[in-house]
Amino acid sequence: MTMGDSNKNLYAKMIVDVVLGPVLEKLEKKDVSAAQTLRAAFTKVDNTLPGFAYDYVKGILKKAEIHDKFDLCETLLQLGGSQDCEELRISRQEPTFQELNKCATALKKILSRIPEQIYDRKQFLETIKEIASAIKRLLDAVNRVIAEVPAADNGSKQILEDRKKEFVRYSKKFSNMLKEFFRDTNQNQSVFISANYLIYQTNLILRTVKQECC
Amino acid sequence: MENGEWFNMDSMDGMRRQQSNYEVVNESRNSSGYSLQSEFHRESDHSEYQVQFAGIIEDIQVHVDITNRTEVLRMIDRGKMEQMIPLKVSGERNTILSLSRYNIKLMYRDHSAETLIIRVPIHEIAAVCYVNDDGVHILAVKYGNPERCSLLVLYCDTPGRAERICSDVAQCFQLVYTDAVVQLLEDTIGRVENSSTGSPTINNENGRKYSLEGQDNPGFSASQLSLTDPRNASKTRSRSVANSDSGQSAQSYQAELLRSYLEQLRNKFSVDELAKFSTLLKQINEFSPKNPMDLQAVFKEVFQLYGNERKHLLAGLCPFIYEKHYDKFLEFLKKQGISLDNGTLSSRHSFPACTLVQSAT
Repeated sequence: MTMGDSNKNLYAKMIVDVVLGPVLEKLEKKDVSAAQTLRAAFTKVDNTLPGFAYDYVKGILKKAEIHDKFDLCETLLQLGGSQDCEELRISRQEPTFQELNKCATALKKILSRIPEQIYDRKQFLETIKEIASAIKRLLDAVNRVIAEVPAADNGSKQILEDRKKEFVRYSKKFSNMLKEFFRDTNQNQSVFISANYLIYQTNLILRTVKQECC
Repeated sequence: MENGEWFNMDSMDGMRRQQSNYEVVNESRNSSGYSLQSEFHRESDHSEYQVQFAGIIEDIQVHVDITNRTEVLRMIDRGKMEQMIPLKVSGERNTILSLSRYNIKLMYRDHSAETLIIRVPIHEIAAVCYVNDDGVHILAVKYGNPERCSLLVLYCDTPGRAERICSDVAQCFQLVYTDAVVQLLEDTIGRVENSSTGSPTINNENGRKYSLEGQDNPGFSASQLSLTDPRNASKTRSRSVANSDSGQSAQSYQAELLRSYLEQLRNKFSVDELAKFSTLLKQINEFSPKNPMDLQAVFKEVFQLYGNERKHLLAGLCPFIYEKHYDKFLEFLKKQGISLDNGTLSSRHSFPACTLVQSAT
């Protein structure tokens, strides 16, 4: 598969969330200052040079001579559900926000199972049903958060609504990729990519809520 | 498995190699037996098989388990005694079974004409069973509606053909089920796209959603629909038709499912019983019990309401049970001797739950 720019950018952002983020969190326990400096540096460079994190990690994998031993897209998807860092957790303790945390984690976890289940039709269909439920629960949770935003704060409400719409757009793409896959089972990579986009969009929702409500 | 099937065109044994779509890629089957790339996935795909049409046995009870060899043979024996099927099948009963992802068709075919005997949509098929009875290869297809089923009885020349038909019908079940699951995902996304209140909805396994509050389903809700006044039912029916005309096919499907189930109940239950049903269903779906036994108590009341003679209708409640209580409801049904399998489309968005089986002996 040819790496399009948009896919590379997606992988870079996923790498920041699910590879670098958890590693830096561990580093924070030993050296807070170093971890925070590195985090800021990666974020700044990746914003300036989109895709940098991807090139960086690819370079490390090449050096270790394991870059061709696994599929990065699949691996990022698997990591997307199992790795969670503080940066992606909403700190507000009210039930509405904690429910959103829970729903986001649940959806990411189910999506991350796709690579191991996609080749078992029966199991995969059950997973898709779970994904449908999880998407519903997540967006219901987002609606409840939006409802809690003070009426006067229309700007934040609108930003959250836009983020929700974007998520729905990627959900539809994911559903379309599934249809394509069931017509042609060689399209598994497209399913992995669109599932990765969905995980990324979930993380964006969490970041946006943190930004607007915390 | 041979490519193509030879069949007799006429009594002179004129042979014609039929066009067959089953150049099977057997190596594509994964460990669960499902072909990764179905032979029936295109709309135009179909396969034909030569079989002998024995007959149709009517009035099969819905809960009859045709995975049980004895049950199947018992039904066939009854069919013979009641002359629904002949004692012996002659060559005149040679027919073509045409299978596609949409339906099974049974036809007489001679040189120029086809005569349709029966067409059964895939989603109406509850189960297909192969029984080898002392060298007679019997294929039994149970199909029908929630209250009563029929059994289509066919004979095959070889066990291989019977097994092949079973396997291909399983593929078609899978396709229909796959389509339904993807549709569920699309429906869910479509619904949440416009939802802003996050009103509670019932999620059942194939996602045929239905809101007790009626917000997502303006045609119906079990708690709001008056079960005692047929005039209200007609109004609701026309609203659901209007919904379907406006393109909300998923909602109108739900409404149709509910309407169909309520029609059955209306024929079997008294006015007071219908009112009690409405209350109990609402209780089940609004339930947040501190003690799980409280939910069991409600299930017991439902079971008592239905009684032994109507308990087979309980399966029809499945699409309307709130997702978080669904597993408990299933368990409760199993304890009462009502077993459901979640194998096929017919198990959740139709009424009785059945699975495709092969029972070769």
